[in-house]
Amino acid sequence: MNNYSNDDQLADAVQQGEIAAQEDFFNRFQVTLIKFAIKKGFSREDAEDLAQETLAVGFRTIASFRRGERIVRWLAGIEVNFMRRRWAAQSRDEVLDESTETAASMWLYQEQAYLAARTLSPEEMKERARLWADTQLYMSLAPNQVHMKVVQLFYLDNLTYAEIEATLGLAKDTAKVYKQRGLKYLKKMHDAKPPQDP
Amino acid sequence: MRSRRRIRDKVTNPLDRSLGDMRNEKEDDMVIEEAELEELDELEQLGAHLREAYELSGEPPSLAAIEFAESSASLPERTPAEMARFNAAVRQRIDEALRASTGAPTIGAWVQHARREASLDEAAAARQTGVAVTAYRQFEAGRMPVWGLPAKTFAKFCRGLAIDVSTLLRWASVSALNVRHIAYGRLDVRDEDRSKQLDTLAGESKDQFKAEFDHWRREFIDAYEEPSTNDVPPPR
Repeated sequence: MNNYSNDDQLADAVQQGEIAAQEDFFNRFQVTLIKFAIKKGFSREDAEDLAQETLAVGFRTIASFRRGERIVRWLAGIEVNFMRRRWAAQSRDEVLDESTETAASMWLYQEQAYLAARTLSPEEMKERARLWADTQLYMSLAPNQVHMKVVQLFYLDNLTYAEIEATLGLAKDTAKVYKQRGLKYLKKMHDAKPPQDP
Repeated sequence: MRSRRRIRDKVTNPLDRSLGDMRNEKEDDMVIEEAELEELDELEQLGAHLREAYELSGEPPSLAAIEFAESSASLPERTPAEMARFNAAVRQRIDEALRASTGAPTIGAWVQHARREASLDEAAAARQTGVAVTAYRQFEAGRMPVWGLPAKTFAKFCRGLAIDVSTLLRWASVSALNVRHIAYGRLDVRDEDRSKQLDTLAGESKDQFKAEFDHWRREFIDAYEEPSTNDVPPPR
């Protein structure tokens, strides 16, 4: 099934209309995309629909896939955009309750962050952009990578504590502490003044 | 200098940590100090800002999040038939989107539009493509597939009309598989042996067709990229 040794080769072959590449492209990523949508709280039927929508757009816009990156992440990014549209179209009556900690409520959390981000002032947008750029650096340099993994899984990947436990084997309370320690480290780094030139 | 070295040592430490070390670390960390509780709100706000910043960055989901979903979401094993149905549905969506974006129901109609824009008549188009006028008309009417045209001459014709070759080839590959799936994709409910024969026939036919299409496609690309006799060499 897998005739292409790397993602760039597959993307080039899809772009040039190779039938085998087209089949490989659909077969290789369909299950991942369906499961990713299911994990975000969509029904199996909706997840299949989202995966089809994503692969269709991916196929048509394969030229915009940046070579050297991973196709699966690129496609998941497209799928998330389709998910956002569906969430935006849904009723907003549902109250977010973090205590339930279901995948759907965590996803609502992400949706809230997305919507909140859209209402930020230009200054706040600039500040968030700087925050993200700095955070990427600080996370890679962090002395305790386990703390950073918890921060990433909780805030960026929107995993629940139960899911973090399943992934890293950390009990809920431990994960909470690690998350806090991770944030504390990031805050310290953000608050620190850049070194002054002598 | 000393503190820098200490930081660098710490960066490499997590990778060397044994499970036992990790367990000890967990126990140490279980106690939240008073000072930490006081700054909880501040830290949560940073987390919320971080989430917003990540959302705004337009970053696709992390590999960890994708792999986690793949390993934890439950989905029954997909049968080849399910995968084939799924793929056919994706191709259907692509076909619909291409029809909408080009404003043409078929590749032939799309080429016809480009030909008319270039004020070229059917006879000239047929001549350049290397087929009879009736055959060319069949193509534009969507009754003959694009791979039924001679690859080399058609490629040069497309270049002359400045047709987007990537779109054309991908549309052709999608149409090609849609057409081929209809040919033998059925079962004989009363005769299992006959079903198997049909299945084998479908597989062989598909493989043969793929090879033929691929040959046409390569010829087309080579001819499209070949320098034209009309091309003027760049000035030195």
